[in-house]
Amino acid sequence: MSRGRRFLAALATLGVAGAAAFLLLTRPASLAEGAVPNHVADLRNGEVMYHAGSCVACHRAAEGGPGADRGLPAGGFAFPTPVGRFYPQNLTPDPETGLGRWSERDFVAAMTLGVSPAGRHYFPAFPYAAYRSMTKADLLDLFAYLKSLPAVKAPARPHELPLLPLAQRGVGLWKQLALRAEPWAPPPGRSASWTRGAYLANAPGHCGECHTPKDWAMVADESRHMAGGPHPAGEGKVPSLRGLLAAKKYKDVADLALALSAGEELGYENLSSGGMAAIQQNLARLPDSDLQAIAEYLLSLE
Amino acid sequence: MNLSKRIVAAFAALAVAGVAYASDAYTARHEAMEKVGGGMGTLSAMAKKETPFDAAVVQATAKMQEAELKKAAAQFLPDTAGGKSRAKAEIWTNRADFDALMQKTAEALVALQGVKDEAALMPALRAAGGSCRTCHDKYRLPE
Repeated sequence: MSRGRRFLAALATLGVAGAAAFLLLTRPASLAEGAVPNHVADLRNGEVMYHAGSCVACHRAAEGGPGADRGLPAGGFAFPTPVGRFYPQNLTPDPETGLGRWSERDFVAAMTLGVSPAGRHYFPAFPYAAYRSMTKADLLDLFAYLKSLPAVKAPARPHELPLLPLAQRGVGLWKQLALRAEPWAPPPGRSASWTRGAYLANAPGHCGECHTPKDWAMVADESRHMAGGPHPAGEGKVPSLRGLLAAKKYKDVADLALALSAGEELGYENLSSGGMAAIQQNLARLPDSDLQAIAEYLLSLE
Repeated sequence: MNLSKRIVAAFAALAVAGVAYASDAYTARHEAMEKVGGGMGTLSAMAKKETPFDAAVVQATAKMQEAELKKAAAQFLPDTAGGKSRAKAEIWTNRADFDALMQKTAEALVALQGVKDEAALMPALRAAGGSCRTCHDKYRLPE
C-alpha cells in the first residue's frame, strides 16, 4: 500500500470506530423486567400529578387546533428553544396520534428513560430528567388519568431542528452526563409537608428545568439548585427561588401558597411572564395542602 | 458650519430625538403601569381582609387604574421595544389582539368600580387581575 492509501485506510478505520463508539454510547436504554409493578390506578391522584407537572402547558393544542377549545393536551403548540422548535406529543388516548396504543411499560420508559415506544430518544425539552424521580405509583396514576381524557385526533408535527435524526441519536451522549446520577430523592429528617413539597417541586413539578441553571453540556448544575439564570427560551432571566423570604418577595408560607394559587389575579405580577402564567394556572388546580407544601419547601431554600 | 458638519449635526439630532422618543414612551407607560400595579396592591390587601372594605376606595382606585391603563396603552408607540422595556416585539405584529386585551382589561376595571359589597370584591378583582396576567403572559418578556 502506498502512503496515501494507508492514510486513507487509517482514516476510514477511525471513522468506522468513531461511528461504532457513537452508536454504542448513544444506544437508547430499555426498562428492566419487573420495572412496572401491578397497580390499581387512582385517577384523582393522576389528575393531581397532571396539574403538578403542568403537562398541558407544553402539550397544549395548537391555537384553534383540535382539542384547543377544551384545553386538552393534544399537542401542536410550538415549544421554542434556541436550538429549534419542538412540537410535543399528543397526550390524549387517540390510538393513531396519541397514547391510545401505549402500554404502562411504554409510558414508564418514556417518563423515566426518555425513550419512545419505537425505541428512540426524546429530546430533553421533555423533562424526563425530573420525571424519572417520580414514584411508579404516581406515574401509573398519571398514565391512567391521561387515558381517561377524551381522545383527540391531532397528527404530530415533526420538530423543526437542524440534522434531526443525528441530533436525536446524539441525545444519548447528553443522557450519559445528565442521567448519570441517581434520580433525585427527598432528604430524610424533614416534615411530611416539606417532603411532599420537595417531591412535587423536583419530580413532577420540574421547577429546576428553568430555575436551575445549566452547565456547558446543558446539564442542570445542581450546585446552583433553583438559583435562577438565563431564560431557556433565549430572552431574559429566570428568577432565583432561593432566599425568597430574605429578599422579602413573600411574607410567609401562606402568602406564597396564595401567590401560586391566584398569581396575578391578586397582583402577584412576577408570576406572569416567561411561561410562568401557564404553570401558575396549573398549580392553582392542586389541593391547597399541596400548595402549602410546595411553598414550605421553596421558602426553606436559602 | 460647513455642509458636511451640518449633515452630521442633523443626523446626531435625529438620533438623539429617536432615543428620546423611545425612552419617553417607555418611561410614560412604565410609570402608568406601576400605578395600575399599585392599585392592585391596595385592592388585593382589601380582598384578603388585611384592610377594611371601603366601596369608595374601591371605586376611586379602579377608576385611577382604568385611566392609567389607558395612558399606558397609548404609549406602545411603533419602534419603542428594547432597552429597559420588557415589551415583546409581538405587540406590534399582533397589534389588534394586544389592543383587544387592553380593552378587555379596561372593561374589567370599569366593572370593578361598581363593586358595592365585600363579597363582590374578590371575584371582580380576580377577573381584572386575570386579564392583566393574560396580556403579560403573551406580551411581556421575563425580567
